[in-house]
Amino acid sequence: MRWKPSYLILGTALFAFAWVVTRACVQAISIDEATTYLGYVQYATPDHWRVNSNNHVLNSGLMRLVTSLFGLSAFTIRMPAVIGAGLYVWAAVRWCKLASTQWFVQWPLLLCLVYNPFVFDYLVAARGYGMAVAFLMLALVNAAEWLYQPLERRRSLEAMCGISSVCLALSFASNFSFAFVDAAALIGLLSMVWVQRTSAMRLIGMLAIPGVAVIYATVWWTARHFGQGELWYGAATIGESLGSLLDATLYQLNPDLANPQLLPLFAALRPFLLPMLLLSALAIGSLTWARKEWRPKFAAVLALIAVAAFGMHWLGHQYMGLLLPKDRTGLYIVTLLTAAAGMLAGVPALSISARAARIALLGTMFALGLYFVMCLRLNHFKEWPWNANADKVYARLACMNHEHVVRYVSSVWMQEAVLNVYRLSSGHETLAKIIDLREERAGTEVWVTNYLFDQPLMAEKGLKIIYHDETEATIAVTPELAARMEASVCLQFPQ
Amino acid sequence: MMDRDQRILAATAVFAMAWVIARAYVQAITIDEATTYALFVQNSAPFHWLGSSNNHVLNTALMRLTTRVFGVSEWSVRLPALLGAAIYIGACLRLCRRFNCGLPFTWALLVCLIYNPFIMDFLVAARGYGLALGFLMAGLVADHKRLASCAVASACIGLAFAANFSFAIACGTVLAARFVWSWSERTHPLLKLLAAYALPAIAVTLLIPLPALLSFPTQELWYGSRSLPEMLDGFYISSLFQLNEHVIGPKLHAVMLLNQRWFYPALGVTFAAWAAYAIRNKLGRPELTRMAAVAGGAAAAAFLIHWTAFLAFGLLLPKERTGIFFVPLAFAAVGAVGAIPPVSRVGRWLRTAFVAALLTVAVNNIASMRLMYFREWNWNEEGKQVYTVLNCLHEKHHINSVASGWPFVSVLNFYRQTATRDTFAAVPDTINNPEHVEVYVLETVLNPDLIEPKHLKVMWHGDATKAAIALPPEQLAALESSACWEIPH
Repeated sequence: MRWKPSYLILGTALFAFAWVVTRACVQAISIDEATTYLGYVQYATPDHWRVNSNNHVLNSGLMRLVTSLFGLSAFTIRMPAVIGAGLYVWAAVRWCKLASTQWFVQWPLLLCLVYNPFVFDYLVAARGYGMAVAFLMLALVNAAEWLYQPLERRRSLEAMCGISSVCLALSFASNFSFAFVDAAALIGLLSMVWVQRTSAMRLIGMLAIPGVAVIYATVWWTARHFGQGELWYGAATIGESLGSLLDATLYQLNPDLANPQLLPLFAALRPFLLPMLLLSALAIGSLTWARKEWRPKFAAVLALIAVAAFGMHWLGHQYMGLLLPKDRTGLYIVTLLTAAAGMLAGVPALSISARAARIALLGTMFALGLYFVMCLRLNHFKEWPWNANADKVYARLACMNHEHVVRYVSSVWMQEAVLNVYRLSSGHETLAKIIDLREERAGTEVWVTNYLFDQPLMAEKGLKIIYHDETEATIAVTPELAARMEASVCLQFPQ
Repeated sequence: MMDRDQRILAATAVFAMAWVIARAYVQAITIDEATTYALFVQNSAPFHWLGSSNNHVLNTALMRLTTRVFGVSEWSVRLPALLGAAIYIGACLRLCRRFNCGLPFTWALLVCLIYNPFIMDFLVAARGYGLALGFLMAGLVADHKRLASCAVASACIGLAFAANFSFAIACGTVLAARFVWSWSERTHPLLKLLAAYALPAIAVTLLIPLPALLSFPTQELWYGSRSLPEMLDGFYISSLFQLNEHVIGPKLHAVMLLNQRWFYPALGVTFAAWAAYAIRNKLGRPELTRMAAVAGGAAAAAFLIHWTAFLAFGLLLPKERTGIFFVPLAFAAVGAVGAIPPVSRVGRWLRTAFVAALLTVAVNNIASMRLMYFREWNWNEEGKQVYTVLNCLHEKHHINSVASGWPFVSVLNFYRQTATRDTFAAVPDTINNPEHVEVYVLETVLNPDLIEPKHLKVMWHGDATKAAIALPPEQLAALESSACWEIPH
């Protein structure tokens, strides 16, 4: 009989996906998304094969397809990421099914896997991270389902290996920073199916050939020309690396969702949540390891894949000067360890100590899940909060173009690419390409600046501020233009 | 029930939902909706946690979400109410299907539950009443045997309370009645049942309305009835409010208008006769009598607690909308008793008379359907047209200073928020002592003493309401011949 998720799981998963779609529609474009579009998608030439750390080939290729079909908008450039989000949520639901049949295990696991603000940001952002983590998790859950299903319900070994191999290749094609973890996952899969007593060559062939074919057809050229000079984003120490993952995971409760009575409670709980999760997971793992139970072993495989990938990074760091994973480039560590904790939470407890550990683990997962739900947000990414109001800034520039024939605008680097993408997507303005404010251009009347950093520049040029918001985005204009705009409709936008 | 009957019931429910959506789309915003938006939604700070009688926390929080996602419009601020309407209509449909006792009866009951003009107004209005009604009914009709359903019912009742604090006592009594019902079945241990009924509601209360509850200013409990007749009169008048001449022909309109005051008394008398007969002859299926006991008992207990609180602490009795929960609870109880099949000729007669009275009320409800206004704030029906004229004056003649009284201030300021371009300055509530006013927006019934002393000239007057736009003498020369006065109503 086919497994049907409960209404609770289905509702939670659908709500998460609906939230992703909503964010993709309403959230202003961020600098990295805009740079990706301008660098690898915008032009007729196939720039999505170009070698650059900001170019996530599969994502850029799909962005090109989607924007060619549906035009340019915040939603269309995020559509590949939204597809990745759909796949990730589907994979997460399958993990929940695998972990347990009990709702009180499935539900917190789903919350922790999907609603984690770190993960959620990249399910929306038009980068390759969401797709990469989705394909990674699909590859692993596909193998796990095959391994732990009754023999009569299994599909063929070839099919399982083929699907997982293709998924891992697509994960790599989506984002090169997943290279080590994809390789570690492939080795993990190989070791798990080794016990099927198929010939080694056949097994390696089944796991390697489909993936290699996908890579050859897609990112082979780009990967071959990828130089170490591109790898400039990362952490210099293990502490910095892990700290960035913890910070992103527990980023900012939303005061719209967490009520004022709960905010201090969650703030007090915050430092204890992840250590509690780790300790209780280790406890239940060690207490149930000796039993004939597959979940602790599979949890160990997941954790080992994460550790092995991190280990490869560390070796690269030690001997080749590679930087360690930082924030988004370590996204897989969070999802793999969460899935491992979920597997352990699903282990039935047979002793008092195991029961206590399980209750502690489930309690922590519930608290963490609730914390993550309270972190849901609509308007910005953790990494690029300064772009939260970029659409509003552009609306004002567009108004100034229509009402006061402003054509030349300079901008701080934080907003430049974003405003150019809005300029291209609108198509109704006669604004010239927006350039960096350090470049001089005759006829420039408007500067989009950052209030905190660019005060000296505004003072030097004698600019007058006509707009300033909570992200510190500022629009400053020449005194002559300010005089022309005294009673302008562009100054009276409803907030 | 036959498939055909099921389809008719479903079509009736779907049409009601479509009507509610249409109303949410076309109806002008009203003073209470606009005030809720201005005070608790519009600001970037999370003011929806503040305790206030006008802040229905869950509704306000969802309004905040929908207006952020879809922009500000009448429709987007009413989306949470529409969610409540969908839940309420679904729950009522489920209840009626469960009674399974002939199409005329179940259809009439469904119409009485959903199409009652009193209820329908609040399924549309961007207040917490629709959401609270929806969750309360969902909590009432959830299965009482399965533990998971009991927990869902508890969460629903918690959400009803979070949606509207005036449902507090009704939520408590429905939860208690359901618990007794489940417990009487002896299918689960007491402790498990208690946990299933208590924990979800407590969790919802902690997560959503707790801060508003803790900071609720008790002096704001000024809206209510001061006597029983006033309370009952409020429900009676609201439920029978205004037959719509567009829906029924003039002849039927005249007949119904003449006899309308007898509809509910007739329903009461026929129901009492039928119920007395059923009790005397010990008729009834257990699930029907228990549903009647739960719904009727919860309504009666809620009334008694309100009454006691009124006598003991001076807490005002429910009035109109704050007692709206009595209507579905009463009809659920009436429906459960009415669904009992008769066994003798006398019984058949009595029940036929009761069903006929129920059908009459149902027809009255359908004849009272309306699209354009709420009973409580009918003076705001033409708020959007007033704004359109003012905005035209602003665009064409640079009018910026508008004075208005309380019926229009928040409405006009709401429409200013929906504007994507420049519009006139925020409207202060200074109609009696204005300074440098270019245009007056007033209510000719409420402000008759304003027009003559200030020599105002009414330039625009609403078709359906007493809303008017008037000019002071110094503006007449410039604006009297404006094309803005010709904007179609």
